[in-house]
Amino acid sequence: MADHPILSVDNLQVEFRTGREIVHAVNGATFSVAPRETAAILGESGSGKSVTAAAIMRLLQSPPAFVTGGSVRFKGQDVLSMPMAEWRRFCGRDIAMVFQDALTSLNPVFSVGWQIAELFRAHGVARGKDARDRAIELLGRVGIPDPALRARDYTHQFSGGMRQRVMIAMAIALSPDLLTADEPTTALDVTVQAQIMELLEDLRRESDMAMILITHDLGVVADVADTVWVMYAGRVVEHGPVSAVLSRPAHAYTLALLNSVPRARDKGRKLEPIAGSPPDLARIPDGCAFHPRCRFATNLCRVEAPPSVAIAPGRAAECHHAGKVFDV
Amino acid sequence: MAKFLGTRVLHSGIALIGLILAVFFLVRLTGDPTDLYLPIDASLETRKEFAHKHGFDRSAVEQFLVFLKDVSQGDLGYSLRKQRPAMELVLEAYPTTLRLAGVAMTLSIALAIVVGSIAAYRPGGVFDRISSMASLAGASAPDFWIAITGILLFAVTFRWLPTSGVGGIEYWVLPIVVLMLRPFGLMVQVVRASMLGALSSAYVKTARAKGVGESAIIFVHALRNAGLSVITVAGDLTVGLINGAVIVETVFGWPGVGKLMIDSVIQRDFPTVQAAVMVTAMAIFLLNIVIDLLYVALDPRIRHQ
Repeated sequence: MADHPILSVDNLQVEFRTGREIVHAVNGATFSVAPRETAAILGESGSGKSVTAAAIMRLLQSPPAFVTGGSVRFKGQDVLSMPMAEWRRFCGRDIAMVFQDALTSLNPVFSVGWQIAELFRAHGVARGKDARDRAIELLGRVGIPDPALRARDYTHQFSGGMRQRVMIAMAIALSPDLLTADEPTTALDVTVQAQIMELLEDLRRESDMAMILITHDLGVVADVADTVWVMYAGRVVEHGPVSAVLSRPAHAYTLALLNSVPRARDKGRKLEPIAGSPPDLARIPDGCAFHPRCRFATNLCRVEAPPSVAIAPGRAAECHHAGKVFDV
Repeated sequence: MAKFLGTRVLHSGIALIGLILAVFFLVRLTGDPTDLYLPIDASLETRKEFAHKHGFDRSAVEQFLVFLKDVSQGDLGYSLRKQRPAMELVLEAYPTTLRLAGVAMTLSIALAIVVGSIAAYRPGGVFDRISSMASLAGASAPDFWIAITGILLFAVTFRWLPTSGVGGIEYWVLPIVVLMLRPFGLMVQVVRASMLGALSSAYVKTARAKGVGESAIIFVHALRNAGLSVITVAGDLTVGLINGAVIVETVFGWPGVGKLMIDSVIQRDFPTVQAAVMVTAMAIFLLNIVIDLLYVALDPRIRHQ
């Protein structure tokens, strides 16, 4: 990571205050994204990855969500302290987002062409027919056949994969520097998933975008990401170049995650599910949050939060037993 | 589309026939008009002559058949009271009611959309709490009481507004306000509830991520979706407004169709009652078709079914 990061998140903390308890969704997440790279945020449901993305875009509804600490810097600017109106000018133009469920994330009562063209109008780039023509061009670019005709259609007239293409067309409309894709393929068929990932990766390369890919899918991470940030209980517990982390993890959680999914080259190996269930974020265990489910756990893990252990340049893991895990 | 409209018209037609039947026979339960229109000491001869002239000496079923025959020829009979075609009286009174209801409804919808949307933008905020209270009070206030109290306060005590009658803008204020209370109160609550849903939806989040301004998010993205349920309620309330007009027109002495209906019922002017009810019913059917068409125009999902 020679380049200055385009986005850096430092010690981000987000909590949800419900009537009875406080849910600590993000507990000091730290990560950064270099220009033109694809950074994957990997984690299971409830690890805080989507909340982190929403916090970066300042899309969290408050109440119940509150950012209680940390900072987000995008292109050198402090995102969280910026007036909202000012930040919204970055949204869509410099930083864009693709959501998981395109069906609900697109407005049902406006045509898709109108919704794409809205980006040009909202940012004062183009209006009227010019904006519409650009929207049609984008629909073609994301691989929608008959774009001029389809631009007049509504969300419910598209298939799942096509809808996600519309979302992607909206996201790349103003050539942002950073695209955040929050589980962009989770709601899709397996065959369509591959096409959408390929499209995202092609577009990223063509337009020199950086991309944050939020996913729970190890296969997707291995295929497209340059770096990976593994999240657990609202913290980044391990990060580094994808190939290095996936081939030789240094955090007990990453290792357990890898052992729980089938991989072609370990044919015949028995899958090992991770014992227990993800922590209740209102009652995160003391010490290392993963210790109740960890087969390496010792007394130290139960009482003391693990420090960040550097494994290699650009690689670290928050694990008391990083060395032991690394040598497995 | 044509089929949809066809079924709609057919259903309306059947309902209309049922309504005519009900009104025709019910209004005859109010008593014999002869007693009202002839002097108390009128001779039996005169009474018989009057009854014969208007067909009251025949059986109710016979009267109905004659009525149906006349209606099919576009003749709704003569007003007993005014000695003029009943339809003429109704059509004369209608514009007054339409103007009153139109202004009241337009103002209610416009105000409710603004107030409800702002309330939904910050649920639980000061504006939300005040508007919730005000709209609840408006929706539950009995309009006849508000009308009379309004006259007492603003016309009699303060002498700011006229007590009743028609004329310049000052004559409009009290009737419009009284007529607006219920629809406005109910609609603020409907707008607020559907806007709450729309504003927390995923597509609003997308719009924010696109950098769309807050006012466009509220009044374009969210309102267009929330508008669908608002239209349904607004339609129902408009129908209710025509009922409300009966009270308001009577209290404020507006020569509208509501007042005409009440006066005709009291004076057993059967043809006028029948004509007024029929025209009103047709207006309501038309309104319902307009609402359906609006729905189709606003919601592409219905359009493509």
